[in-house]
Amino acid sequence: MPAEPSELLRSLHDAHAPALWRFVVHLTNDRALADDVVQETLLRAWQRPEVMARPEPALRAWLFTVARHLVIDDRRSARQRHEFGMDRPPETGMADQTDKVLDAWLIADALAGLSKEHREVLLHSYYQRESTAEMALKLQIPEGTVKSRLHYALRAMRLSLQESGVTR
Amino acid sequence: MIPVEPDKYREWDAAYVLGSLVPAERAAYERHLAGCTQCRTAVAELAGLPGLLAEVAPADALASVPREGAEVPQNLLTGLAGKIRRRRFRTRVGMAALAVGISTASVGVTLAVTPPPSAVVVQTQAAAVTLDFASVVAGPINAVGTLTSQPWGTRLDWTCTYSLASGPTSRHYASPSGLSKASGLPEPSGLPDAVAPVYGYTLVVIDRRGAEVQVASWTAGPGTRVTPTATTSIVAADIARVEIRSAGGEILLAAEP
Ligand SMILES: [Zn+2]
Repeated sequence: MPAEPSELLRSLHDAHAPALWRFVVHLTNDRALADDVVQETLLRAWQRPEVMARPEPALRAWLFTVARHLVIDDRRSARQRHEFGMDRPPETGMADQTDKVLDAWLIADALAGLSKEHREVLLHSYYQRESTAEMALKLQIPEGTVKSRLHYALRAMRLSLQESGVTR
Repeated sequence: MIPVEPDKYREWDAAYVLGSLVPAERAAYERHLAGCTQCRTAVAELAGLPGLLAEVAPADALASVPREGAEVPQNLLTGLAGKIRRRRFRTRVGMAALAVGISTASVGVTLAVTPPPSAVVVQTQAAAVTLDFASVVAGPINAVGTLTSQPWGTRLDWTCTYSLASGPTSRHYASPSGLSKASGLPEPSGLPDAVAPVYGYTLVVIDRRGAEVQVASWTAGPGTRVTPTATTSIVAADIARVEIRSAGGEILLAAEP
């Protein structure tokens, strides 16, 4: 036995609940529903030893796919009271497309999780293609501070994406 | 101690990989990289990040807002634990009823299923009639059961085996319960520690006039085996057909006594 079930559930929760929850809130804008969907998703994973045994990126992808399907099912049942409307089981529905979309969301989520200062320089640098000199001028900070903030911002991104399983 | 000269390039790694250094600084940094292992390592660590940032469209990135306030509720884990306890409890009750047998299991049912007043009291326990379930659609489920006449109607016992092998018959795996608005998310019964029983099934009895009654519902998953019991006021002789359906209503297996 690897660990006490409750311990396993707690670590599953700690590792995945925050990002999953934000993901569902992002999809539904409904916090109460997000609570339910995340709990159900974690529970379903926890009930499946074969899912829990998967490597981290695969487990994460499974969780996000199940959560997304639960949201879709909820919308459907709200519309037509269809109880079982899943087109594809999560096991086979893991297209590359889905992974890409999920990664993009996780990356955007990691960006949103940066401090205001770190997020600011990263947006200016990468998405607006500004040089450190341009940023220093715009943000009224020394060039050395721009470089330093970029350094810590990108390190924070890397850590966050490692935690969410986007990179190793 | 020899004073170590601080590396003035130490924090340039990100600006470099993001392409934000001005040309002169870029050239200087590259010259430094040639002789500094630490900075080379730092650059290597960050080298993959621009490619990842590229997966977010600039418009989306710029529109992203800091997530303050959007933190997962503290009580999520506590709620989760509560959910499990409720399911465990329900499962134990269910198992106990099964273990004690029909006398316990029928208590709840008797209220709804009153014996037909015209029923002739047959004291002898009629011999069980075999239900040999045949697949209507190919799938991983096999079932065999019995119908037993009772003074109040019919008792049905069956064993449903869900094979581990997955095949092209994904439909059996593809019907996790949808969310129901009224009660929140569906709660699959069964042991949380066991292989997940999240696929819903029902047992439907069809009488000789074509009327159908659902007499049981249960959940199962790959590798599980369940032996439910159900009761109905329909007398055994009137039962024309017994079907196992997916919770979505598709007929999976059928038996004619
Ligand atoms: Zn260096």
